[in-house]
Amino acid sequence: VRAGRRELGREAEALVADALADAGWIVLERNWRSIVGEVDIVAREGDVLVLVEVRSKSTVRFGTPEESVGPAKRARLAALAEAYVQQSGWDGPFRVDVVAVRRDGAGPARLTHYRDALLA
Amino acid sequence: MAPPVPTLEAEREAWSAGARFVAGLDEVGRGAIAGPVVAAAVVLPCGGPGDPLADVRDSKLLDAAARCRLAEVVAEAAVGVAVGRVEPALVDALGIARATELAMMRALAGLAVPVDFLLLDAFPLRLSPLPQRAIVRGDRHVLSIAAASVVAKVHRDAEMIALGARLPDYGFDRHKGYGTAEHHAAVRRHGVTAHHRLSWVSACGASACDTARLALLRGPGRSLDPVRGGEAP
Repeated sequence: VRAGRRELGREAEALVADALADAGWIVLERNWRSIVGEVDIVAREGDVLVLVEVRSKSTVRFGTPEESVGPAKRARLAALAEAYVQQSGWDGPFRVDVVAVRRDGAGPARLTHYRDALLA
Repeated sequence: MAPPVPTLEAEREAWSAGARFVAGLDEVGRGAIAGPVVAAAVVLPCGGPGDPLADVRDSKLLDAAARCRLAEVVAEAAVGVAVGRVEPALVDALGIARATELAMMRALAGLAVPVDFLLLDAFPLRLSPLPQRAIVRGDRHVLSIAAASVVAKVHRDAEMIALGARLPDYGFDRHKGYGTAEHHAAVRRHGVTAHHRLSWVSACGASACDTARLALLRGPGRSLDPVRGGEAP
């Protein structure tokens, strides 16, 4: 991963975490790691635990951010959700969301939120 | 009197006792009223890193430019460097002492080398079963702890500067979340954010109303509108 791309990803994660907090979510974790991989954001929306995957791209030339969540990525997100729930001892409802961040040039970033993305 | 130069004395003792991967740990953001608590772990090569780390000191003894330069030097010279973080909501839930330990455990979990001994500043890491030694003023005297203090500080500062750019009303880029007069004034004027730690908000002069709002924000409460497509905050 080039430094520029990782930088973009970190900034996108921070933007999404802020936006979720503004919407009343409680951000519990950022970049939570386990042997299965990393979750960008873990948050609570009311009584639901939500694992949030942030997808960012600066250009749609090679596909939109949301299109970049393929079957392998979905399987990994499901495994991560299971790992987090197990390790944290959470016994309430949980789901996985994807938030796509699109930034074209200098304009403001555009966020699109896909709830329960593994079911889509 | 000039502050002492950090040495490898504690590392050498551990190495000669049979340890191979000795991690120095330190934390930053413990006393802040906003932002995460960040810990770093640094493992220096057995036998010593040689000259490149000669300028490394406790992060509090260095200016920002020197810290940034030395963080890169540490990344080059160390056999392992990792950072762990705990968000404000968890700091409130766990208390700062346990949150700090958790951040340190996360930093250790991020290391690729099999650590077998820990060096800590002042407080033992009770969550870890590894053999360890807590040294008073370790951040000044022990090279790998001093190196960890630099890495953690640079990492957290960069994040608070980015936060300052997103929320320009609070001056996070200047005070890094610590309770300065400017920060207290901004909280009184603009209210608290999700980046503030509830446990300190009342102490820093937020109104009772703000404290209640933050408690609501952090409580199980109702969920508000989801984020839709549109402008970022």
